[in-house]
Amino acid sequence: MSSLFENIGGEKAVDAAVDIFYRKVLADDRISHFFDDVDMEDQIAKQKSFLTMAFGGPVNYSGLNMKEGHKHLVARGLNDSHVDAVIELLGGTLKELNVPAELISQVAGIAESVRGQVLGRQG
Amino acid sequence: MATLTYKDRSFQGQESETILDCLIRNGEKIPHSCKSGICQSCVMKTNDPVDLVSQKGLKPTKKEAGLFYTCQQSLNKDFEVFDSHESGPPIDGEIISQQRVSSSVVILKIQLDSPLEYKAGQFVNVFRTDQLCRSYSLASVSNNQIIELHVRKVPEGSMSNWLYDSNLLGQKITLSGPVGECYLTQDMENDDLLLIGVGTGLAPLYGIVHEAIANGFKGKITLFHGGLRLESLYLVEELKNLEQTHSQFNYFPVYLLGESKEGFLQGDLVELLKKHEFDLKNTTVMVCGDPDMVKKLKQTVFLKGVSSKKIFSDAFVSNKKV
Repeated sequence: MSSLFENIGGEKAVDAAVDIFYRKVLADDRISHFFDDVDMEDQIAKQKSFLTMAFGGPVNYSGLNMKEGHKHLVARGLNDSHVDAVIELLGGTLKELNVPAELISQVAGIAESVRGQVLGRQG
Repeated sequence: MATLTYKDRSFQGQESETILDCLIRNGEKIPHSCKSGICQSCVMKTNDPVDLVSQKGLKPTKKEAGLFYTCQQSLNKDFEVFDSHESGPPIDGEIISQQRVSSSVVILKIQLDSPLEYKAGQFVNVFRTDQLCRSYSLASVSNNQIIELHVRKVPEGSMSNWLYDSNLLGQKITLSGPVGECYLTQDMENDDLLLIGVGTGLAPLYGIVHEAIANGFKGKITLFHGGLRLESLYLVEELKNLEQTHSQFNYFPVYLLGESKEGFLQGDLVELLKKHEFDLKNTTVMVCGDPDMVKKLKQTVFLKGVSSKKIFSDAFVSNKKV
């Protein structure tokens, strides 16, 4: 049986999704302020590892874990509503790329599974 | 406290000190300039693991070789460091022309003793004989043995004031490099070019415009040059003439403050870019200049729909105060 990552289209899908997804994030008033002052190249690299993870691909987050990586954002008020927004935009991105609804819900499930870590509620 | 070893000497680090600061504090002459991990002049080598940030932007081969920015690596554990011979040997030259083109910008031409391999649009580190070092963009076309640099005089800038104020014809000077990601490559040849320069961010783009035209580049070339005031703009006549003689080239000089004047755009560069219409799919965008403006301009063109892979930039960081 092939994996979710393969079904979605692997690295190519990540490449196709990253610009669309990041553009949505920057244009969304609910969350754009967390990203405003970040260097674009850095951020795109991070978005790529996030998408790879969410698509069920090989996890190679560079150095920091989810909790450490978002600590400074939690201090700036990152909460459940922002995670909701990100998951929503992720879904919108995949829809735009004509990914079947069933795979989108699997991706949302994976993103959902790291919510606690991102918000610093669990290690 | 951590210990730093260099050339058989050992130094004790101080609280939250970088490797570069520790070496300088102990009297070692290490070339450095931007202290922001951009100019690459302070790169050294180590076999010890380094933080991600101190290798950001280095080529994978250089990372593997253990090269890192000493200005970005905190001395948070013991390190042994070595001189890096990978950033290219220094090249000597002589200043043969010094042209003050505005109240703050001087254009220097330097005759090199030996050829430097570079692409129009990259930048070099310039060393004075006392080892003071700063980065400046190359405004000349690729691999020319006479290079052209645009230098903006900044308040309290030791190097830029010297380069602007002193009479330097015949002055010997040393360069290293080149560095920087804004230059023409083959996969851009079917694209249009949108070049956006702020202040002396014009320099690399000026080189690129000339190179593109000289190489028979087919697409449209659009250049926005932004400055705070009308007086901050320079090379206006040259660029307008170039626009007259080459239909593929469009030039927009833009300034933020002051009254409007014919032949110029007055306003916020970011807002103007938002309104500017161009082929979003087939345009390569290059942005050079002040880091905050570069960040905003990049984001603006990206949000318009340009692929992140087609956006290149070099941010100019002036030397941070020690």
